[in-house]
Amino acid sequence: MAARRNTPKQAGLLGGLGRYSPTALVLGGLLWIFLAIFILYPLYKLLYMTFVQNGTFTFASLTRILSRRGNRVALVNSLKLGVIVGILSTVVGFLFAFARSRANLAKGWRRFIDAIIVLPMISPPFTLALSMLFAFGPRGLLTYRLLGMTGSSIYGMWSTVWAQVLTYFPLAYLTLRGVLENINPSLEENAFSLGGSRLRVFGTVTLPLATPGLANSFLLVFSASLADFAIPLVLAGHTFPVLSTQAYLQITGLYDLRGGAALSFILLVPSLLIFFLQRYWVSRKYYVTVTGKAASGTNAPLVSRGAKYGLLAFCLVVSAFILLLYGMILFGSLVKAWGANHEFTLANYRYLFTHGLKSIKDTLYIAFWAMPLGGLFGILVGYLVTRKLVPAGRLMESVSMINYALPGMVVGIAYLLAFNDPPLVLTGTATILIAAYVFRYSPTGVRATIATLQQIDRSIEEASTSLGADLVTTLRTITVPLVLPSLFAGLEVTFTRAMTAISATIFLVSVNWTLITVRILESATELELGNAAAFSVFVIVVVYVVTLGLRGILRLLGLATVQEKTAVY
Amino acid sequence: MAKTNQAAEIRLENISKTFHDRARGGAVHAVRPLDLEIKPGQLTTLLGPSGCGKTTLLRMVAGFEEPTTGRIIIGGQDQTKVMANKRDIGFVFQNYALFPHMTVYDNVAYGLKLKGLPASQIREAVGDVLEMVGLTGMEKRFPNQISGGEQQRVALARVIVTRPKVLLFDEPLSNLDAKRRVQMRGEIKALQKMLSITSIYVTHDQEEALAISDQIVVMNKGTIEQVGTPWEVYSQPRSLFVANFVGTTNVLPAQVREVQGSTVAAEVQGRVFRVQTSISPAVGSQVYLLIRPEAAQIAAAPGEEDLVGTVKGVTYLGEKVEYDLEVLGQDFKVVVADPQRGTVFEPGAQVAVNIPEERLSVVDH
Repeated sequence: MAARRNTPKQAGLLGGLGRYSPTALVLGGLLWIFLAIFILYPLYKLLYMTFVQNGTFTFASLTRILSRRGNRVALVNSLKLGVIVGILSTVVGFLFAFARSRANLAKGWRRFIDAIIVLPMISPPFTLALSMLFAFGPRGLLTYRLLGMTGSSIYGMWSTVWAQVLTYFPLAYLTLRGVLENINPSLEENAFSLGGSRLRVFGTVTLPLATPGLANSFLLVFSASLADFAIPLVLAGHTFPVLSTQAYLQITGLYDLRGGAALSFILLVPSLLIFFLQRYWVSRKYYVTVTGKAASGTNAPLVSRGAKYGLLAFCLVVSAFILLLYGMILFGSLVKAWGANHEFTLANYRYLFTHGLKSIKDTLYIAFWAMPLGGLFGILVGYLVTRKLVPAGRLMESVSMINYALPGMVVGIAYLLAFNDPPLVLTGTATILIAAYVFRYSPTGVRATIATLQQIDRSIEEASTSLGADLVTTLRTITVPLVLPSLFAGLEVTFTRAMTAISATIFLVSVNWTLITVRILESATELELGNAAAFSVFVIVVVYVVTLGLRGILRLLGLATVQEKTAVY
Repeated sequence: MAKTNQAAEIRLENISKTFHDRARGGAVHAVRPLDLEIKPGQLTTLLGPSGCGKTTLLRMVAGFEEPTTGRIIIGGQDQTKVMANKRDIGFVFQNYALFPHMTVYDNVAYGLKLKGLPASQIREAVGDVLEMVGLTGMEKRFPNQISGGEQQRVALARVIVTRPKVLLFDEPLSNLDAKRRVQMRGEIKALQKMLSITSIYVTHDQEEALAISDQIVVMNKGTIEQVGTPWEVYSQPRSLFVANFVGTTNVLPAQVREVQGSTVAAEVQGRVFRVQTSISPAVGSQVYLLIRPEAAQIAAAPGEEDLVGTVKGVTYLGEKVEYDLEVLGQDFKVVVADPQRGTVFEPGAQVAVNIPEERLSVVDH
């Protein structure tokens, strides 16, 4: 019935609140307090630092920063890098997704591709940058050992581009795979049977239907590239400054907080713009164009034998290259000196568990705290918003997304500004690191919860009620088990990111609390590549084991099937 | 199986529901104040177009919506303020609302477990009810592993296993294909008769309502248009809305010439019909005369006295022929059952139309 969904009566504020349960209101109020402290307040401090000087509003900081040629060049470089990486990643991602969903590949190949693609997603963002150094650096395996080149320079735009493409094309792949799988193959079969050639069908049916997905993928990768600072820091060198590295140097090198804030504001504007463009414009176009049931992934007529093997060959070459790069990390962690002395040693791991032990302990402590808190926060916000249990739910959802939409660097600087001075001094504590991860990565849990709950019709809870269950029983036996997979998705992402991310937290580490990723970056920039490699291997193994563990628990609980139906990574 | 409840009577007194929706200009009167009595052990259908308030009414009986005014009395007890989980009601949802993370067995056993029955008793009761709905052997399947019809049976089994006082059905068959729908409605009817549980069944399908109901409540715009047996609702519609919504009907605008007791003489284009009716319109007022297409007859070669119709369209449907005629300046449908070779009229033919006065009904303008 049309009248079933009613919006609250607006009889004054208190009258309007009357229809909400007190428990939900208290919980919602608490969540708002956290959102205010850890998202809105830091953002406010960042804007204040950028635009207010001696109590008056001014553009002085921005103009001062932009008056420097280096920063203007960095801005242009950042945008150029983002566009190139966005396009290339989307192309590579599309080829993978197309091969996966349309080329009728054997199941084994599909599994293999998926297994490779996940590697860049669970490793620290600059792992591939590191292995690029191994492969193409001054003492690189390919450049120096095989080709005998000396003094070859890896630093610059193009190595940054390729490291970022390899790191971010899985993002494009996942986006586009979803899109292609949702295009009903019967549309293509129909066009084909109407007499279109394969290329024509591809050009007139498949590609136009995938266009919103391509746009979405480009925007996602563009903003990831814009926000990325670890890869440029390792590979870009002084010839190719970008905004994020400039902001980093402004703060760590020049101790110029105001300048850093202004630079990160310049970074913030395009990121937020893209986020809202992607969320409210592109994603809306999907639902108009893409309809029908998920395809089984077999679409024989569209891809000729030649094209199929061409696509497979492309995927395998790229996959092999990624494997090679990761193999080099492993190799590099087990030899005495990369490029000079390839004698086997465990010294790097000994270093890891002695000098690196503190960072390992700290990281695990922080990750294991951030994981449940991030998961819980995500599920609570998602639940309250979807079930309309609190007023202004949409606003709550949007605010909870802000730190996720912002480049990590911006969040880091904002936290630095917000929590360095009273009223809330958190600098140097574990809390500030945990908070940074929780509020930056819980949106995955929020989105997953919302997606799951939207699929769970309210009638399922009503069915339980009318069979005699009270509210608590219904929550325990029906709602929680159904939402549990989203909680686990949230846990997985928060943990993975807490282990691997660096951009938000590099400003927040201290003598008391440090992170593995920061140690990797230090080792990489100081060219202690063996240590960096050992740290990276450790992170990948831990993330992999914990991820598998979480999925195993879910399977033990008998909820894996539900997750497969509602999975969002 | 758990003990059978005494069939309960349901009484709705002055019940109404008003929603507030700013998008639709404030108050939406989904159900306007109404009274309704549902006899114990019977199956009553709430029939009406979408938006007529039938589902809202059903959800108030279930306890999912709180009535704006009025009382709900089930089995002599006022249940208006009783929570949905304490009402002892079985609700079958349009989308089945099966628990996706539970097997067929666990879905059906859910209500019994909540009642705290011993495991052996639950096993027996679930086994019995699954046999009753023909799902023996499906216990270990999950809802997404069985067909739509089977899901419907699980939803049914899940509520009847607890032997509730009242069964409520919210368009339970609308997600099934036509053949399965006819089969399932027969099964629901048979089960309901066997268990003799008082039931309310919401549908917008008039054929389904006619086939399944002991009593039909026709609703429109939040009010009740007519309450009656399927026969009464079909053959003696109380309003133009009921006549049009339940089946097809011919509508002849007429003017009242004379009223004598329960007989009304009304004139259509110079021709006077005498009709038995319970309403007493004023002489000279406008009314509608209604007749079902299958109640009128046509014959060849109209004579002087006959009402003449012109055939405008013919639809041959195998077991019957539908004619679109023009009679007394009105569009008029006639259905002839079991047509024989050579008796079907062609478009353009002039035919004699017989409108038996005892088959006419009168409704207010």
